[in-house]
Amino acid sequence: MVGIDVIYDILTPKIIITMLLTSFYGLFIGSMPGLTATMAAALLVPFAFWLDPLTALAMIIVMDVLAIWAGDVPATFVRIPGTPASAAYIDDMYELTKKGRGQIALSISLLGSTLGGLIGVLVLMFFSPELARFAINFSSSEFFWLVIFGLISSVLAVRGSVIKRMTSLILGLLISLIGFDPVFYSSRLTFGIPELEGGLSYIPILIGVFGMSEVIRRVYYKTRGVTITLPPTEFKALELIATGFSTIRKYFTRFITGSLIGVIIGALPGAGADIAAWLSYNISYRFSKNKDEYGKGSEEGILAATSANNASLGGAWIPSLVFGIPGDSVTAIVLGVMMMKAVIPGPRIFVEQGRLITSLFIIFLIANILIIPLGILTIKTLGRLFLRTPDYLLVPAILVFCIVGSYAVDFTFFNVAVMILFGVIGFFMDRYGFPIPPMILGIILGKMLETYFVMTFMKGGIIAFFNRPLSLVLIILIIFIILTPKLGKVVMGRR
Amino acid sequence: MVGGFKPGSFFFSIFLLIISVLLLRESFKINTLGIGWGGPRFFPQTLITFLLLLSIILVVVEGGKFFKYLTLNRNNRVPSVRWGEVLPVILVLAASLTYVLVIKIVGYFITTFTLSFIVSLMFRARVLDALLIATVITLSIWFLFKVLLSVPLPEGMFGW
Repeated sequence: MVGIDVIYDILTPKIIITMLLTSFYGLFIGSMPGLTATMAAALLVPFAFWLDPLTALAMIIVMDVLAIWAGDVPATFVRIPGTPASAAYIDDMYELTKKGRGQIALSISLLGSTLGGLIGVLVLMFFSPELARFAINFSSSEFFWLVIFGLISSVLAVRGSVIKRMTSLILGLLISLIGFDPVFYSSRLTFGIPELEGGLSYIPILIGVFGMSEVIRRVYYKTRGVTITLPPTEFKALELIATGFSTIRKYFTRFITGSLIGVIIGALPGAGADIAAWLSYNISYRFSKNKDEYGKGSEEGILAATSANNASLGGAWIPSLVFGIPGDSVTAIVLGVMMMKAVIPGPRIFVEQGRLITSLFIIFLIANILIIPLGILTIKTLGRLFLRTPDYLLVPAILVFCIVGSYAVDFTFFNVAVMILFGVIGFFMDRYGFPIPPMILGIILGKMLETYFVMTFMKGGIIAFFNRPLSLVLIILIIFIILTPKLGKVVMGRR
Repeated sequence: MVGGFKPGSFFFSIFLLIISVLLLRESFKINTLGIGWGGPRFFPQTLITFLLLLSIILVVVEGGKFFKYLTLNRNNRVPSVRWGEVLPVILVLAASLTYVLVIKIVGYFITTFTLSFIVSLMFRARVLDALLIATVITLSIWFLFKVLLSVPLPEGMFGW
């Protein structure tokens, strides 16, 4: 299946060096509380401009895989999640640290993440083409409902007030409509500002809401580094790996269930590693015989959630590659990079870009395997060092990176102004409980939603949205995901 | 604070309402191209109407919480803006905007060094450390973008 040409494509000094550098970058970002894989991916985009498609995408894949695992490092040692995905099982990690088993907790997450991630990639490798063949039957009406499904998922997948979640989504959709419209080429919502005629590039917006808002937040709260006192317990590298494997053997059902939940959640547009981890942890708790251990250092819970974490990363690529709809916020950035490189996602990508896609699968596998040696290295040495990076070094570096990164998109300072503005907006939205992900998904999918809406409407009016079997299936699916919690309550109530 | 309520949330809702009204006004300028159902105007106007409705609900809900907050804190004054917390944020934003305005004139090196130095000092770095940090940040980002990625960073009147 894997041609020798694909191996040649990957085994170039440029790709190997890029993978190594971004793996350390991913470990660093994941280990830093407050810095997310999404922000790290956004900061990589300016580099992607200057690289070939395979190197650019390899860079993001490796960073993402390593960052999601590394988010467990500060969760374990200082009870601060490095990435949102680590929040689900943070108490269990920290409790094990207090018992002198912090390194063991990380070794379970290391093996769970690696093997869960590999399952995610295998599903991506073997099921994406089938999904692609299925997707060829999709018309504008199905794509319209699919985009709606993704947008609604993004609203349902976050917490907080429904009104605020909806507001965030609508704001995102409106931001995407600024400038010329995709069907009639009319100028819209520009307020007479010529720079807005071409629309807003979403890269400076992403850098703003994730990177700049983090700078503002840190300046506002003047966050200080936390002094860590680690228990003196040290384990040998082989001992850590052996413990990880034995935990997987002991809780094999949890591991498989967690990985499958991760793949499924990842494949849903708009849902990512954090939701997968929460869901898997909750389901594991529901079916566990050791419920009392949950929250107090449950190795079972950690395994279930961490295997879902990294399995979701592969799953998130399925809708991205097949439909061009991001599975999570990192793949939203990946889609931007793909389009920038004229790699158009969609059902035909496996035919037109077969060699590139196979290379990406292999890189995904390598990235997951890389977690083991680099993770052990991190557990043993780097974790503590990263956590002690003081704000007076970190904040100016992020700020300058945000500015130069936004400027590098098209060498204009208008994008830098957009980045700063969205940094402020992101800060206030976060402060007042408006979730950012629906807005981001709205910005990414807004033009697509309008295009499919207009195409379907012009084909046959309102009825065209409802007269195809696949459209009806998607509508039922949308109603189902909206009503699931209520149906669950009704069923539980009857019991 | 009542139930974790932040008074700023009410003002943010009002800000959203104002934005919705401005957007609605702007949406009437979109040419319908004579299309009966609205053509290019239909989609933005529908979304803006939703945003307007959501903003009104938010103003009512957050307003209710705000006035409850005022009633429960009748004896205490509504906390005013804590300038000690806000000023550093304004300073960073102002420094970033000044950076954007000045970089074309002065060039990358001086502006980036100054910005990194100021922000580092704000986080209470010692002057010598801040100087070192600013130098390292300026040179590493220059190396990454200019040397490795060939991004044309502004050179200004000094040519660097």
